[in-house]
Amino acid sequence: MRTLAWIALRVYPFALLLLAWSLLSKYGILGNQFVMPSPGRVWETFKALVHDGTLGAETATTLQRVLIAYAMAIVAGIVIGTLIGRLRYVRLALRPIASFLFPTPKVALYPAMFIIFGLGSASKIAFGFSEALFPILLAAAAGTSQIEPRLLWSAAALGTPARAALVKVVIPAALPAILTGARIGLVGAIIGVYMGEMIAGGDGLGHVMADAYRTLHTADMYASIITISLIGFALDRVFLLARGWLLAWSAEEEAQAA
Amino acid sequence: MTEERPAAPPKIEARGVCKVFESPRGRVRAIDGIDLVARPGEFISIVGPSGCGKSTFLYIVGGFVEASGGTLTVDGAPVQRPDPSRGIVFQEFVLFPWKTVLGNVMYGLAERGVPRRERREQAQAYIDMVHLSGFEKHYPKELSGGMKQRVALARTLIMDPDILLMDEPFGAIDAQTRVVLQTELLQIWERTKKTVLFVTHSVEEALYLSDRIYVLSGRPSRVREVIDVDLPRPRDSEAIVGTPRYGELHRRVWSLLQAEQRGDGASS
Amino acid sequence: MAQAPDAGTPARLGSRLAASAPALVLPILSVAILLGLWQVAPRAGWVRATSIPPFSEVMTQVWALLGEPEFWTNLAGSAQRWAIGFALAIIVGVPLGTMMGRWRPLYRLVDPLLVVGYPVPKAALILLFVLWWGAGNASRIVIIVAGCLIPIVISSYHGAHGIEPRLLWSARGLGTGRVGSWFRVVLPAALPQILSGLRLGIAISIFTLLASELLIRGIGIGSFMFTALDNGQTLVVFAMATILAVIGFALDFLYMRAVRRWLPWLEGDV
Repeated sequence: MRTLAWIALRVYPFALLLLAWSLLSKYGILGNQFVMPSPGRVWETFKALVHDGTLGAETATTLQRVLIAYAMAIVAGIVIGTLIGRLRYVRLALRPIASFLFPTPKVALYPAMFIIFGLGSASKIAFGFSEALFPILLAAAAGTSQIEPRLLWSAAALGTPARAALVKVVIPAALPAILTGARIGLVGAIIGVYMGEMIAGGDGLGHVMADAYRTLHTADMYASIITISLIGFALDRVFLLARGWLLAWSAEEEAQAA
Repeated sequence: MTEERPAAPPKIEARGVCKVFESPRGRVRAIDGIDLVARPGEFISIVGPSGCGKSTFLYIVGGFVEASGGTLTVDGAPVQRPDPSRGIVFQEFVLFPWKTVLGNVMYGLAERGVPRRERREQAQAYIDMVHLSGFEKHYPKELSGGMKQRVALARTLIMDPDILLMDEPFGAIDAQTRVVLQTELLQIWERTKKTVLFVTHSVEEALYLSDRIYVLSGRPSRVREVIDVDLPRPRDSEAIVGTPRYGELHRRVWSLLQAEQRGDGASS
Repeated sequence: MAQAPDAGTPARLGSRLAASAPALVLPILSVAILLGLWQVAPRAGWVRATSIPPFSEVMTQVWALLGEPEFWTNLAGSAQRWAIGFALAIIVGVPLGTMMGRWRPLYRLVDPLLVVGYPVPKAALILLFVLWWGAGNASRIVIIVAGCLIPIVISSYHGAHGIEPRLLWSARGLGTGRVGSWFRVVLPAALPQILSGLRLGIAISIFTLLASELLIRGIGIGSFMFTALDNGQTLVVFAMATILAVIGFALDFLYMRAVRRWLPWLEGDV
């Protein structure tokens, strides 16, 4: 009985969504069948897109860009963040720049990035990277700067040289904080790439959305947004699994999903 | 003040060690000239009022904090940086939370380059020695305070340090477990004859464990008095409490500490 | 207490300066180097001047833009829509989140919605909104609400949920009623988390605003910037990017200042 309730709770948003969607579409509240196709229509479109390979190809393209952008952001974020967190001079030098760039809407930089990187894959990856970098960097800087000194002293007293301690002690100890920032960064990577594809076009799920909008293939629009949402959800779940494994030793409670 | 002339060359020798901390508000003189001599194999306790800098002195001996003045030598050579020959056990935040008990104990051996199988075997031996057999795969978060300190001890002892520095290691542990750990520590010490510097708040603990007690003054701290704990060994934690000599020593240390706490001390 | 610690000799002026010199010099130095590179690189041909114009030219363009009425109309319009959207998100999100924090059934009901809504890229929804409601102010404001609502709800939830129960018990023991304790204990105690969420919300909502304007042109500062991109006006693009970056920074800075000034009793970071 409890399990049923548990499942019901998890599933009801989808049920609600489908219900509302069907009703809105049927009674043309938000618009006619064209503007708001029924779930059935969208499902048919889905099947068609999967069947002719479009959805698969576009999804792969977007996913690839997201993963590249994210990987780069993780490496850059952790490295720079750790340097800022541990080295006083680096922190003094870079902090004003980081503080300035963090609240900056990276979107404002998109046109500039288009000019620099062109309209191909590079700029989309750049967008994803720029949106993902700062949460990770800031979390790494904060996490690595708050390490208990006695932990480092213990390592030193057991023979760990200072440089090695960075990798052996600082990063593992800061991992919970880093991963919190990394989770936010993941969302940023997805949004950045998707937005880039919507604006610049060419290929990818974002392009499917924007193109469908322009050519009035409204059902495709829905297909695109649902797909990217599912990707976001799936990647987040994968992330949580990875985090659970990496932080098996941690005493902290699991953060709520979302 | 009783201090015997050292018969063998001292293991640890501190002369006039000072420590000054710089802060935005100005300088704070934490330690103002500590003289301390530890002979090889001695168990020395350091007691003093809260905040007097006894832990700081320990950290200086360990090489984690640099002294502002005075000299400090270990085996005749000055202390420059932390080293496995001066093992340290802190009160808390000691263990690497991302490593298992086994991982923690093996850590130092890995640094030394000991091959994997040997590491495991040696670590297992030490885990057994501190009575934690069966907990090898546990993470620190699953252990009680007392168990964590046992792991800390094992991790340090496996390096076979000449000197053991202990910073109120049992301070955060409940009273019953504390006595058990104290006794086990004594047994290990009697077997291995390491030189131990033991910082503590507890006069009872100091009297039970040590050969000599250094009583420090309040901040800026100096050595107020060195007390020779001439209670016979091996000591029984319960039996000694009743003896008259214990009572005298206890009163002596206690009154010194109270004087320091109140500020009656004659430090300049 | 034992004899007063030797707190006193203030560090000699020279050594104090020496200690804080890097704190003053390094940041200025690094910014100067960055701007210097920005100026020199295009001029020296290390990067294409058509791709990245030199700093000085961008600054001139910034000045020119600030004098253009079209710039200000667009900025004002966007700012207005943003303010309304953000305000709506607070009005809906904070009460919802805090109530979720104190009333478990509500949390159980709403949390699955949040989980589903979280991975949806809200900025992309703008195209759907335009389909349904046209490209007017309604869609533009709703998208901003959609963008920052979830983070605000989540942080309000965390703030209200993590309150030390004994705090509430103390208040009730002193005679505070149910409703009273809401305003006098729950909200203030949850404030740090809520404010943290609002800070994030500012950044996210600005992002959503600009992104939506990129996609549906017409009015707004975002579309203004992208029209310049379409027309190949590189200088304008960079100038606008600079202005928007400064605005983003300024909003965040002012927000932190306001929080510190009017809520000085808050401990810790927001």
